Amino acid sequence: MADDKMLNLISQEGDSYSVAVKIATKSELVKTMIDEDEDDADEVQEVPLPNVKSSVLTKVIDFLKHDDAEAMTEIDKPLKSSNMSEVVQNWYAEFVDVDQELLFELILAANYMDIKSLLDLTCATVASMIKGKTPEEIRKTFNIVNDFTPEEEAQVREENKWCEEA
Amino acid sequence: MDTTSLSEALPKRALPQTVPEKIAAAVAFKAEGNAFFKEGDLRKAAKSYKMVFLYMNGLHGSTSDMKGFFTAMGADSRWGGTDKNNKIGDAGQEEEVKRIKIDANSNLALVYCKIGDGEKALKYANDALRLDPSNSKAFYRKCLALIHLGNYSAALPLLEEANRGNPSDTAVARTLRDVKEKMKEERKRNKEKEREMFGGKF
Repeated sequence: MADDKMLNLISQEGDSYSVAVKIATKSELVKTMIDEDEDDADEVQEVPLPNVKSSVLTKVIDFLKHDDAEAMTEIDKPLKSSNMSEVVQNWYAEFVDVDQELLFELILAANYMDIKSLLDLTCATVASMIKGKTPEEIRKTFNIVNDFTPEEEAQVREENKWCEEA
Repeated sequence: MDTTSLSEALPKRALPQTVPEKIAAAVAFKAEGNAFFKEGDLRKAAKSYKMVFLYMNGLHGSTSDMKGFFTAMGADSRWGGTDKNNKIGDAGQEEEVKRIKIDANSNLALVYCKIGDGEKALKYANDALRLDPSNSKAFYRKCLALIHLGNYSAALPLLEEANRGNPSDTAVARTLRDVKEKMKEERKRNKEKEREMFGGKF
């Protein structure tokens, strides 16, 4: 297949984005859609993605394009830092420096479109928001209501003592 | 006028938004796939069946792989608007989505068996079985995929299992006989080969 061949990704709102096949197929979901196409190679294919909104799809496409130009470094686990710019290249650290809602939508889109590197990056970002924090701080970060009774909380702490000792 | 401005002038068409609309679209693609299959246009059938995944993947309900993530992040109460379009409403809808995905995978397994691509056939049969391990159709198609790949020794115990489960299924019984026959021939051929290779020496 020619390197410059393009296809159109369509968002939930119906917006169409022209992307190189080589880049779009970093999404496993898109990739499975185009392998029947060897015979009618002249036609520009449209891939509808009804479960992604335009605001999220444009971010995903930015990621895929950049990943093609400067591949993201493999993320070491466990995370070596809670500062994402010490985990991946600057461009990627800035890419995930977004509000929580968009970050979570990116996780869902990466899961839906089956893009491993984007799922790694976004999940690592959530992990970095948890790393090194106390339970109270984590609750505050994610707006989680503490619904444990004092007895339950004592029990959870007892069961996870080994965790704090480490 | 150049073609770019022409296509830009066309009104954009939003894709199905709500889960029921997406289910309706997926059902239509499945039916289209069945029609192409009946006409013998296997490539087009495969494409229609795959369209199902664009609509049905990424929806989340109580059995979705993202459910734990959503609960942990308190998504339901906190950002009610987020991804609301992809949220499965009730158990009935959940079952429907699952059923459509199983059928699409299982039918793709059959299509690729007919095309002669055993690897893809095996992948889709396995995907169907992951969603429904007791699906006898998908199970049989997995056997056919393994036969296409020439992996008789893997197909044999599965066919025996299917045959025990439903002895009156004649297709399974016939395929089981065929596989046993083929394995016998293979053993015979191998012996002849050995004789040819070592015949003069021993």
